[in-house]
Amino acid sequence: MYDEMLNRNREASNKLYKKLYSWLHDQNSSTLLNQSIKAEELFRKVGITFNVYGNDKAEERLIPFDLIPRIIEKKEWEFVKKGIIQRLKALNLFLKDIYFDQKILKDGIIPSKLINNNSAFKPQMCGFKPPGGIYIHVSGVDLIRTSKKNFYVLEDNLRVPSGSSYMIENRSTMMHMFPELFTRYNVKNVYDYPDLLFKSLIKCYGSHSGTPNLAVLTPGIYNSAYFEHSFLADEMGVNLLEWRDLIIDNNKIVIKTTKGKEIIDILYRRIDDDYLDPLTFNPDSLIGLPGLFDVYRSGNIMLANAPGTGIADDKAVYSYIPEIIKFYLSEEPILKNVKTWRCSEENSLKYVLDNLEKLVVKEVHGSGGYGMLIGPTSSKSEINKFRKKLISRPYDYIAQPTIALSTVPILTEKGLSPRHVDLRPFALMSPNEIHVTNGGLTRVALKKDSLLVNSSQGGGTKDTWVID
Amino acid sequence: MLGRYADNLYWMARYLERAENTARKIQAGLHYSVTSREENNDLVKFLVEEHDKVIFKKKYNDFSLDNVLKFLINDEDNENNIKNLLQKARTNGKIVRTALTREVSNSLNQSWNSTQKILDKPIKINNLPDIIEKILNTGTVFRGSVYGTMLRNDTFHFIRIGTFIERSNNTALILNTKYYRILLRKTVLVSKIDYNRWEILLRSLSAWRSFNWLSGEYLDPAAITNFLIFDERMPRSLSFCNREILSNLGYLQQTYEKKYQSFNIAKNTQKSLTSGIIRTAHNKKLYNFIKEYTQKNEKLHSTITKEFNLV
Repeated sequence: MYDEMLNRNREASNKLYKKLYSWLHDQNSSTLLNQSIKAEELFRKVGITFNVYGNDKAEERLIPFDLIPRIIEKKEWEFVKKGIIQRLKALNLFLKDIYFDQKILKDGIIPSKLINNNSAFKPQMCGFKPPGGIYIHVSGVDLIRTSKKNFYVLEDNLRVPSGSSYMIENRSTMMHMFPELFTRYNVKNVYDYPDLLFKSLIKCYGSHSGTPNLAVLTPGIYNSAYFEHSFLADEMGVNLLEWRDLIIDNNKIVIKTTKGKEIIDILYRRIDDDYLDPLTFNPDSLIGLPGLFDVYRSGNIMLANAPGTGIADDKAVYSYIPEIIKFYLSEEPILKNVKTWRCSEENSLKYVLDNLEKLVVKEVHGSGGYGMLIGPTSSKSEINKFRKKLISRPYDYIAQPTIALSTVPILTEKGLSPRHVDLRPFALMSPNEIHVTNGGLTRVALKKDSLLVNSSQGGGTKDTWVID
Repeated sequence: MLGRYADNLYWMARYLERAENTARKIQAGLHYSVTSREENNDLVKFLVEEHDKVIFKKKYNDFSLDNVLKFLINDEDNENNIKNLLQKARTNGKIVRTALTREVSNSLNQSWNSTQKILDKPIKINNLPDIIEKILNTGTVFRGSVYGTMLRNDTFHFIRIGTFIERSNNTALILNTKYYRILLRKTVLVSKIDYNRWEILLRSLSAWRSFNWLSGEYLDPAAITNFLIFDERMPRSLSFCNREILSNLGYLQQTYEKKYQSFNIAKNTQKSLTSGIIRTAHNKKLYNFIKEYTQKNEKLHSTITKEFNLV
């Protein structure tokens, strides 16, 4: 197991961690634990909470925050950044191809069946070029690390990834509690994210007369990521809208303000494709704005991300990403892909069924850690239950080896203790640039030995420092 | 600003003000019940507004302090219980978090966090002073942070309008429903009970001390009415509240470069509030005046809602 802070002899693994480690040693442990409680109070005061799905009462919870920062050296980070940029470039080209010529299917690189029968593929997008040719305005690539040099991409998250507000709030909290630490390190800034998001979206919209009117669209205050929606709208200085605020007037999207009507040009929507427009997508959806997609196709509103990006972060398509990168960029992938067995293929299914206790099996359309099996930590009966599911609907599943995610220590009552982590940097794409945040959101599995970092599964977060 | 935001801001302020007004009433009732030796709970009954009495009577046998406290603080059957009002204020605030400064939204969150748990439990009289203080403090911190940190733009004006429409409604309601019973008594002799009622009325508007300060110990019905209606120094008088509403609507007219009917309504009301002193409280005209004021206030609310696209 690879611990990013301490090597086998329990010494700091590099110069940067050494400084932190000795600083931690100088601190009184009860003071640190007290700071931990203070941090929680701070989060509550600001109202940085999320709502848990499946709870009728929409209970407000805090995502636990751990005080020990995770450190990544700048040169390591430059490498990761390059990898993310490469991947996103290829995936945006892939989307353009899939919704126009489908060359990659014609050349037999990816089976047509995988795309055309996939619910994440939106035929309504075929032949339509989104403003600036950009599909993936915002993404949150999930990375894991297995050794000093090895970074893997676990998921690409190209639909409506969340977490950027936590990345920023974590930093604010750390600066509030340990200002002294920040004088010792040159930690790269993450505060510019909302500003860059704003500028990046405006760039995609292109040159029209005047500054376009941008707004954030949220499902509402009971959504699990509502805090983030309001945070980003606030930081960008734009309206936070709900469905009931939108009217279609003269083939434009309009809102009613205290002064009168106002036209909206760009919607940074934090709502899934299926709920956007019941006339075009899911007819059973009770929410959405009927006719929105027609306005979109006539060019009177820009949606970010573009509808239909989900086909590029589909778990079954994931296994083809190395081929996708080679096909569009003629380059070798910089970041590694985790080996993936597609259960829809007979041989793979057989292998998976024979090795369930070693593998992680995921639902192709699942997210948030729901509907998955982690073989090594599951009981026999859980495995057998899953076996039945796999046999009856093999095309709904993929399997991956259990990877030992790297660990970073967290603060516990008994001192420092290693826990598994992943990392979600955020990337912003505009016609001539892909910007990747300095670091991102580190999610940490708080339970000892657990590999589940999702907040809905008992995960917490850490501040992530990219240091010069 | 989005019309819905203005609506949330306006109601956030109204609910908070309403919670605070109820807390003041309770504080007055508590003060009375611990200082007075009378067995009569007639005065505690005073704390429940006329329109809520029907709901109250359905559930409780008598107007004991315990029952009244429960009803006003956390009885689910009373839509306007303090807990509910604070929650609604906070929900409205959460929706427009983006329009508020961090100080204002933190003040809402913090007070919610500190009162929520206490208000969930049955209320014990021993804890009451503490609870009331927390609630009143909520209002104070909220107003302070609004006043001290927010830009003087439309956001600010809608909050202020909400506060003062609710506040003047409350003062008018107290005058309207209590007036006949306390102030408009035929008797010239002031009994101990009358004295107590006036005290509780003034205390429920946090005006006991300021009234005494301005008029000495002389509790005269006409003086009290004049004070609560016309005195511009008194932050809960109708005149003071309406002047605030008028000035905020004036700013909105300037900002939006438009004339609004709501401004004219408030302007007319202001004229009637500066017109004079009522010499005697035994005056049918006064009763009508307050009734009319309440109606005008209602009209003002609906006109603002319509003119500024509040939902």
